Amino acid sequence: MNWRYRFTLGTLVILFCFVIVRLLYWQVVKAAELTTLGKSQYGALITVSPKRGEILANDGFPLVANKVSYLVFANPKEIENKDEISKILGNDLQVDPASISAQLSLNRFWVPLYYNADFSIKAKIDQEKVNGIGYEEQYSRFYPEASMAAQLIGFLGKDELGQDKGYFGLEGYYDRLLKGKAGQSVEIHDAFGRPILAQATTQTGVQNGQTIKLSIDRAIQYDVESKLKDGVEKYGAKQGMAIIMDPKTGSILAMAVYPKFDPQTFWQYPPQTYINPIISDFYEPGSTFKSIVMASAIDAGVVTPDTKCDICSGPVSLGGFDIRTWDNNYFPNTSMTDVIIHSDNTGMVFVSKKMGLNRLYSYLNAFGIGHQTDIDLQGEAVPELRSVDQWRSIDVATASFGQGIDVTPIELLEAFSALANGGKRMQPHVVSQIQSDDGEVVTIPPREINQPISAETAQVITEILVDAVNKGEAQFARLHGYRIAGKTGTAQIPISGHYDPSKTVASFIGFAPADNPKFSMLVIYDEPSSSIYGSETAAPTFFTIAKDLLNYYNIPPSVPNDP
Amino acid sequence: MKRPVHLLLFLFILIIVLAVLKIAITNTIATTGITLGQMQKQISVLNTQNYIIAQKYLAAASLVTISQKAQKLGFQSNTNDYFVTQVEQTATTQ
Repeated sequence: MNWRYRFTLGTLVILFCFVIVRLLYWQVVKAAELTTLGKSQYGALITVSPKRGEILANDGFPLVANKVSYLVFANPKEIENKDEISKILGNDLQVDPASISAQLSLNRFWVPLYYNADFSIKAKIDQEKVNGIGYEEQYSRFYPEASMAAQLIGFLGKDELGQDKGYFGLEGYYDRLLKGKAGQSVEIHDAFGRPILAQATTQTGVQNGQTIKLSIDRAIQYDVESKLKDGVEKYGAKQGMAIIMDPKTGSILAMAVYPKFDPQTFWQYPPQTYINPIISDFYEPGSTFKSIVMASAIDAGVVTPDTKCDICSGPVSLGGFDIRTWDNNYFPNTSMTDVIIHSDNTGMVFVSKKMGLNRLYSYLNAFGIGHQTDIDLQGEAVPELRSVDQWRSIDVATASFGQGIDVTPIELLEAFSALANGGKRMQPHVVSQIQSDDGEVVTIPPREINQPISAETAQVITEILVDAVNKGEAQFARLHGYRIAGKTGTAQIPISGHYDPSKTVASFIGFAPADNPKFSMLVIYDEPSSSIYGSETAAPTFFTIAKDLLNYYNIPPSVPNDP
Repeated sequence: MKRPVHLLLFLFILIIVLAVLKIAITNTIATTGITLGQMQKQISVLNTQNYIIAQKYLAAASLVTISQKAQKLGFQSNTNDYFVTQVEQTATTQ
């Protein structure tokens, strides 16, 4: 009896051990694999796309927002009258019916018909009550102000993998910040596909993109773009640019380029329009640069506003070249103030001789010439200054009146704005705040780069530039009743090693009110055809915009009885 | 001997009650998946409507739209500016 009992017990124990080992195998060794298999049967793993951050103007109104759009698809096997349906859909989608027909003729269960359809188009198609048409909801960029600040904003395109990617301007520079991070969602459902409450949906890892708030004033941007467009058309220019900056903080209040493009349909425009010439193109600034050089000379103590020029009675010969004034008028023993008023090239040669190469070079570096401004936009270019040993005497002379030296418009405005800010140079920036999805706000503070000239020098040069506006070539376009500091510029364009006298870059740079500047502004017209001079093209536009700005800021006239 | 018996009886009744309660609650929430599904669908629809309304609002409130409508209504740019200034009050001794 005993052996039967032991045999049975031993068999049962062995069987039990076998079961336990098998259980261990399925519940421990294969646990992960079976969990995934189970989840795939009753749960759905969905990739959650993050919402791209918005771009707001300084009043919080979105310049770039997100909208619901639809991918319209069809199941060709469910559509019977393909020709008739192609015509109906072609009409609703505003596309060639032949392209619809080509898709519907494919032997597939799913074909895309149209991307980024608006809700109004979806509503129209719904009314047609066509079988076999479906929609996939997506999000795409929406520009409430249409093409406002297009070159500043950039656009959202696709990368090589078909993922959204920002190009140019703010969309490009802040792409990583705006894009956010995709996450995953596990949704548990029953055999009928209904969600199970006991195991609620879990979403992990998704981070919506951050929103950026600009210093751009929407009203000012709109006004500037309107005036710039009028100016380009009136003066027959190839291109127009205008930048307005707060000289005390470096905040960009407006940045306009004409012609521009529509970011919503950027592919319909030539690629060269995407480039923002304000940060990417360089040009020889011409006489606007005289303000920087004169300020440097006064700060260095080599001249004063009353210093007399003893070489200004006629053209100056230097290195085999004759340097003349723009109108061939010469003023013997002219003062430095009058050199600026008359935009006298020979007077500037006198200043450059007083400065000398090393001192001039040092001040140009201090003003940031030849250096990036590091503005927060994608695509900034910097024309480097040649090294000191590469400069000849003629280069020093021509640089003093803004020829033979390249700058970008933003570089010039940044340097010039130091004259309006007590000599302090501020870094230009477009973004003032970054807002995260959970409400955290990071404010970007103004950044002072350096102080190229003293506050006293800034005051002196301001008075000279006020005289330049009141008594110089732009006096006929100036705004009466206000003290505005400014300088015209008419720079010849170098073409194939020589200057073309009929092609110029006409500009005006200035700030107002002179005593407590609220804004500094640079207006540029590229190759105006009605007149080559800045005083007759850029200056009137500058003062028209300045008038609107002074009204906008409720700044009353400060000069009574100013005829 | 009586106390352990009472304790065992109490535990037995508690187990039965909790088991019944669990079955009742599970039955109640078993069909809430349908409601949950409907709520999720409604949330999705409302979110979409939100976006559409926001888009319409932004388009209507844009400066481009307002300026076009203003032109149609006959508004014109201001050409003359007037400033009313006041002589600043100064302290005077009597």
